[in-house]
Amino acid sequence: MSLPPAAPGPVPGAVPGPTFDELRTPDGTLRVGWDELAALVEAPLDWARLQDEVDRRLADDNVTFRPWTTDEDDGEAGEARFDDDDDVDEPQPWRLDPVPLVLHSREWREVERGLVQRAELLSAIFHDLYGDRRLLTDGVLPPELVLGHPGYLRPLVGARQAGGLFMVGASLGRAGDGGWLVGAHQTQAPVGAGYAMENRRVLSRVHAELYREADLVRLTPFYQAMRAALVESGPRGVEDPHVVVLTPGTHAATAFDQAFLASRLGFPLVEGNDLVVRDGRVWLRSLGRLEPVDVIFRHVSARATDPLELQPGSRLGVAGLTEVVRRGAVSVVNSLGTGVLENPGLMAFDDRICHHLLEEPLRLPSLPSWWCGEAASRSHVVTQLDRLRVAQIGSGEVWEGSLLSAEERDTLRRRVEADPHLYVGHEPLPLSTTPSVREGRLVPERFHLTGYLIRHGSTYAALPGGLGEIRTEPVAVSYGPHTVSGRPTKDLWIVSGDDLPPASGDEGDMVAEMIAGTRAMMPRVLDDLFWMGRYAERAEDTVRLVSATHHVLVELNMVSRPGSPVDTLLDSLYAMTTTPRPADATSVLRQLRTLLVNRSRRGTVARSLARLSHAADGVRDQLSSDVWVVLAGAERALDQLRRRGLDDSSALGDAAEHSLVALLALNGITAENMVRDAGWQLLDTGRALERAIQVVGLLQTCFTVPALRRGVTADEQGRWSTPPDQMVLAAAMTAAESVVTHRRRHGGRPELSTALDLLVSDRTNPRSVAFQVERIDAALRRLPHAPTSGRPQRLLTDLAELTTATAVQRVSHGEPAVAPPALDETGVETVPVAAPGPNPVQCVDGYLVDLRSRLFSLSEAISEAYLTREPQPRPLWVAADLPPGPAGSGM
Amino acid sequence: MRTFRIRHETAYHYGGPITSSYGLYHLSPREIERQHVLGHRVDVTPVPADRSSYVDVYGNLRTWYHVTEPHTDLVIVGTTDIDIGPQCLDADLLALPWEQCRPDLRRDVPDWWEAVDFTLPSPRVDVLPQVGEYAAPSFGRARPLGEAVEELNHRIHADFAYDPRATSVTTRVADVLRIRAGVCQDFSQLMVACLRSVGLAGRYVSGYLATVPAPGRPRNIGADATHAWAGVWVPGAGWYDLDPTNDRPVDESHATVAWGRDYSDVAPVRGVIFGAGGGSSMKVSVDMAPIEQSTFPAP
Repeated sequence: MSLPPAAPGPVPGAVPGPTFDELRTPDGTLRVGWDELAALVEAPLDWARLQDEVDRRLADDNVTFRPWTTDEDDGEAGEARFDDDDDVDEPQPWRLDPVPLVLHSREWREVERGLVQRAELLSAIFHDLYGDRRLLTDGVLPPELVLGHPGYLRPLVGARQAGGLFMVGASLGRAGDGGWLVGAHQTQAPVGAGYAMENRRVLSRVHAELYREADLVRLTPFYQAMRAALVESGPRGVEDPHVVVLTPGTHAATAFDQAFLASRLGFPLVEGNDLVVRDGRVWLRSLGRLEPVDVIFRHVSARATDPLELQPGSRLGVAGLTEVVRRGAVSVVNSLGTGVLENPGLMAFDDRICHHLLEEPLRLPSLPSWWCGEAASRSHVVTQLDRLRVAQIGSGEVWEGSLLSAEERDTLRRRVEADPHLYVGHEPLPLSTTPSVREGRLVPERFHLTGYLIRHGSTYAALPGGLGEIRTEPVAVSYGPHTVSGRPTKDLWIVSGDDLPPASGDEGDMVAEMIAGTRAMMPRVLDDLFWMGRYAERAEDTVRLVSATHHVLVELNMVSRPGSPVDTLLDSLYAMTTTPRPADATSVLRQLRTLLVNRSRRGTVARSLARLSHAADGVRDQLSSDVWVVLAGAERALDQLRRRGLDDSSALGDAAEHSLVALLALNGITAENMVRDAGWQLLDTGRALERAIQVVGLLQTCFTVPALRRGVTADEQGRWSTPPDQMVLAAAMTAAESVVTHRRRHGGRPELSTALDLLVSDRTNPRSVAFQVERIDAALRRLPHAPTSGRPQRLLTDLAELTTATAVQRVSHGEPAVAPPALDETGVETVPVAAPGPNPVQCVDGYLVDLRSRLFSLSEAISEAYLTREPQPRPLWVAADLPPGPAGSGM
Repeated sequence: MRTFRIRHETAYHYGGPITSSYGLYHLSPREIERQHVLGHRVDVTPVPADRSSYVDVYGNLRTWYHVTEPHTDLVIVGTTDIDIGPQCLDADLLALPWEQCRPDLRRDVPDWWEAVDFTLPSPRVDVLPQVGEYAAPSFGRARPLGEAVEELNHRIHADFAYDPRATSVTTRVADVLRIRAGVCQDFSQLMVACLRSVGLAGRYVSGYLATVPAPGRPRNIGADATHAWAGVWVPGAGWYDLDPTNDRPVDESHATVAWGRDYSDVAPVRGVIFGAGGGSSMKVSVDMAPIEQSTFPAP
């Protein structure tokens, strides 16, 4: 099978002239490079299946992006971490085409040389603009082009920053004759090196055999060099620099990119709030201690890194960072101020600058560009508006001239003429086409490519690959804003042509393990892990209860009447998930379905999973990648149910079962594969605490509440003898994973007291409350540098006393759980208990309510003691009647 | 030449303890041709754990500090003894047609490219069409620069009411034009915007004004607080400063502290704080009084 000739159909506004075909020469033979990989395009492959496999692998790794960035704070304490309405933006799945881009190393070497020279040039421009400013004094660059760009940070002029231009991203595309051109630079915090690594990881597995056998240049050495270069970026004289990766957080558009890179490189991922400036240095807050930070690999725009000097009101930065940078006591890479190099207007001058600063011609040309601040260029742009692409310097706004109406062109012309120095015109590129999968078939698609470079000694090294992006619309090469578009991406394979030594290790594997001692233990990370534990347990317990209810429903032939076992269990489910039971009852089956799959509803399994995944996202660098495979499995189980009919009972059973299996696997991973550091202790604490809360809730909603509602009297207290009662009991015990034990210990005569024994006081039962209390106590004791006596410890002591076998027995007999203590001399530490009711069931109910509220207090106390994030900065002073101003309003 | 002692106190009070306070201040008068600093100090209470100064891109002394002692009151006092003289600009240069003073047309002057910085919009100064309309009548063809900017200075003084309640520290140029009132900061930023609207370089200057006027001079407006004015770039001569609040060129009553593109470059004090408790208040007092002789130890 061969591809149809690369003749993309007419696209509105397409650049006229020839389009370069990556696959074949004009006479139809495969180009050098592709000939090695002919199997991809000449053998009949099931591309639909391969695309599915790519999608599944990406989902397994939870590779996502968010369409836009928010800097909202998510740090909300309390029972649920977020308000119901304040849901986070849904992350979108990352897209990857199953066909790689292919280039032979002979051609790539040329591109690489050009890219390396360009990075050296950009670095030279950076040092000049923040140093001697020869480009301005010598008249090489028009001052308004530089001084009017928002990336030019005046507080850093003259500062000898330690970091410099560490990493560069450059967008490339082909002209009609096949020549490569650079269309844009990413110099603040290049996006995509992590995605590129992941793309390779996936494609190298999807085409495993081909990948192994073809002589392809591997990516891993580049990432190893990147790690080494980051360490070398430390301030002068620092022996063993401590590197962190600064991210805006999990809400960022490309949070995956940052987290994945951090985890593969083995550096902790931190947010601005995790860092603090003190004594002229930057420190990482780490469980009650401060650890010095020497290198900050930033993925936050320079302005946002300092609310004091660069952008008042920023919540993503570190107050005082600029000053530490000026003093040279920390290296920020890329340095603060490198954003000025992203100015598209520089494209019109880079050949000239190259001659001036490097004294050599530019090897890899830029897109032909005209800066409108010069009269001749302005008139060129204005007269060719129907053809050129116009960019506004600073805002990044872009107009495709060929797509504008006459009226829109007129408006644009007026804007250009009013502020000519803010506009630049670029020649559009036809771009080349490469085989790509669309609806299961190979078709030629246009693309552009981002290449990455890192500083390597005195020069730069290029990633032997890149991040391609398919462009179906007729545009040239992408510009920052540095976010991703959601278009399908491509992995670039460089065919070496040499016999490479066999590569060791898989692509995309860990470059370096994080050293256990340097694992970041910021309150934010501990908080995420704590909530990960809570949501994992909540999801699991909810699935169990839904599943148990479903069994009863099936047993009773789908009939539910008020007061029936199913009805009681539904009441319990709604109470446990803290949602009101809907008044207009749809079928029980549909209600159970909703409780599993509806993500927008509080307390559902899908919601807990989304929260779990969000918490895990925040600590991606701490987790094994298996966690994502497992979470994707749970999500997939729910998705299958979503696709089935509303009344498909067996599908519901399957979904519950499969998601439970996935959640149990998660349990296994955390139990077996995680280092027992502070983070694990908090994860375990969260899990134990949630389990205790769930068990107490289950006892209450399945036993005491319905009994009280039916008016159970004292003499029949707690005896569940009717078949419906038995069914509820069995279901609840199943949900609490204790049905077998109960049957073995207490036979077939279940009573309230036996249930209480087993689920509250039995220290040998890993589902009991007492067990959880001991577990939490032990976990908190193992935290390093943590207080050993405090409110959490006091609450735990009380809980332990309240959940002894004696206490439970007393309560079952209608007495207070703990005999009223004699006041000690100080009269302070008495244990308040529920007053005994006239009816033992009432007494037990009160006891459970009390336990539950104590568990909630414990959660709060743990948050306060170990997980409190630092407060956000406020302006020095703000007039009471005025909102804080947009800029410079610090006083 | 007159000698002054300037005392500038800024006091913040908070409803709850502040555990960490980072700040930046521009409180040190500049050493320039018409003024000479005899002695200067800034006291911050509580004493900062960390403090250092550097010269910013415009040549101003900028100081960074970090107070770590928990506090509910933060007081910053700057004290300066200073000799001040009048501006001395070459009359011939002020007589240049204003069009010839646009930096982009004066590449013969070495600092032209630095002056370009002051022709561009800046964080607090938007150069809007209505600003251009307001400025235009003062800039007739080939009018001498000095005459044009003095008239602009006069018009702003005449058209805008001095009213501290009309605006705040965050008020923008467009609002000032609309409400026709403001304080020295607003008038200066408006004037800067007007200069930029015709392609001239306009700078924002922060400083102090003598509390009591020189004998025979009118009352000084805005002397009880920090003051601000505007300057226009004169090719070959540097800057010509004018005070729209007091309708006159800057003279020996004006002590220059710092200049930049607008207020945001030279705010006297700004900072961010961490700590519990809401509510805060601020009090600023400035006194600039003539003295016979500086009692500061020689610098």
